[in-house]
Amino acid sequence: MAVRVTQVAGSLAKSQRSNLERKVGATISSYFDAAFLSGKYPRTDFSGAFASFTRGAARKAQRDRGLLTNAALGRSTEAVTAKQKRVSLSVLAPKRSAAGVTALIRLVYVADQAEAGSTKVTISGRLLLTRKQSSGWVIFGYDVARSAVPRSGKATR
Amino acid sequence: MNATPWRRRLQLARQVTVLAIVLAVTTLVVPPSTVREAPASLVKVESASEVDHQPHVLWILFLGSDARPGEPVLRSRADAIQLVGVNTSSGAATAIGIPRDSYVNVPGYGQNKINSSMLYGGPQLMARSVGELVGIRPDYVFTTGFVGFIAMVKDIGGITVNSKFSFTDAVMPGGYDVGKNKLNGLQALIFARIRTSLPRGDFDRSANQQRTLLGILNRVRSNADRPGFVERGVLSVLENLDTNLSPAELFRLAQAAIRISPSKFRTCVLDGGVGYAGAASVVFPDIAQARRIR
Repeated sequence: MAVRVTQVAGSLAKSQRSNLERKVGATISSYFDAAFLSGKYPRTDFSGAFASFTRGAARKAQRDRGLLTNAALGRSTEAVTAKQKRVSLSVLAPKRSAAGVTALIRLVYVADQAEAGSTKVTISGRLLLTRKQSSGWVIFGYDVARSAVPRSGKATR
Repeated sequence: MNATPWRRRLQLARQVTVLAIVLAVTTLVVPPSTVREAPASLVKVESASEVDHQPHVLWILFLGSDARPGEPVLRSRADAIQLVGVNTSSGAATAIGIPRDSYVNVPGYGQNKINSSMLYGGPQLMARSVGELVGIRPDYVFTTGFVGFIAMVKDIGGITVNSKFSFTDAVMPGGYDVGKNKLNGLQALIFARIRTSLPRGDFDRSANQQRTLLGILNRVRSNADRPGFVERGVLSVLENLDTNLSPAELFRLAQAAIRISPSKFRTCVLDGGVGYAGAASVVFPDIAQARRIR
C-alpha cells in the first residue's frame, strides 16, 4: 500500500514521517483487509471489520457497514482482488509530534462473481485518526464514498 | 402553431428510429466486459460520514479578552462571551450570547459585571460565573485576544459575515453593509467588537459575535476537503487561543465541530434591562430567560 505524508501543520522530522506512514498505514491496511480484501468469500460476516476504529466510531460504522465493507457483494463474491491502495496523510504536528491525521484514501478492488462476472468498486474519502493510548493509531471518524454496486445480498453480521 | 398531430407523430417516429439505430450499433460495436463499471460521470456514489466524539453534547465557552498590548489575555476583562452547545450526532448547535456588562453573582466576589470574572479568576472563574447564570457548566473554554483572533481569521483566509446593520469604521473601506461582507482578520475583529454604531449596543454586538462564529464555521466547512486545511486551522487555534484541550482532543473536537450544519446553528442573546449599579452602567440579565434557553 502506498502511504505518503503530503501535508504537515507544524513540523515533523523525516524519520518521524516514515514512522507515521508505517504506523498509520498499518491501521488503515488492517481496516481494508478486514472490511474488503480478506476473509473467506463468499462472505456474510463482516463483524470484525471495524477493529481499527474507536468503540464509538465502530458503533456508527456498523450502521454504515453496507458501504464501509464489502457486505453488499459479499454473498455473491468468490474472490476479491485489490487493484489500487493509496493513502495521503495530512498531519497535525504541533511541538514536533503528530497528534491527529486526516487520511485521504483510495481503494480500488475487483469482486469476482462467478455468474455475474466481476464488479470494480472504488472506495474513496477521508479517515480521521488519533493516537491510541497504547501505541499505534485508531480511526475515530470517516467520510467515505463508494461507487455504486448492484445489491446481491445483505451481510448477516 | 398549428402543428398537426401527424407531424408530431412523424417526429416521434424519427426519434425512436434514431435511438434504435444507436442502440443496435452500440450492441454490435461494444464488446461484453467482465468488469462492469459505468463511466466515471455516470457512477452513482453513495457516502457515509460520522465522527466519534464523547460526549455527544458538549458546551464550549468562547471568550474574547480585551487585553491591551502588554496585558495578560487570561487576566483581562472579556469583551465577547459566547456559550455554544454542540450536538455532534445531529450536527446542531446553539450559541447563547451573554452581554459583557451583565450584572451577576461572580462566585467568591459577589455581585459584579460578568466580564470581571476573567480579571479575578481567569477563564475558570468566567466559566463558573456563566455556569451559575445559565445553569450549564462549559466543558471547554477557549480564550483569545485581539492579536490571536486576527491571526486565526487570517490563517483560514478571512471570513464572510451576514450583517444586520450597516455602519462605518476606518478598517473597512466603504463600511460594513447590510448582508454579506467579506472580512479580513482586523475587519472581523472590529465587526465583533463594535457596539456604539449599533442600535442596541451590547446586545447587537453579541449577535455580531455569533455571526462571526458562523462565518468561521462556514469558512472551515467549505474548505474542509482541502488537504491540510483542518490541520492548519487546528494548529492556528493552538497557537492563537488559550485552551484546556490537548492537541489530539482539539483535533477530534474540530473534526466533530465541522459537522455542525449552518442551517442548524441557532443563536440567541440573553436579554435584560440596562441600568446602573452604583456609577457603573450594567445589564440586569433576564435570569428566567437564561435558564430557559439552555
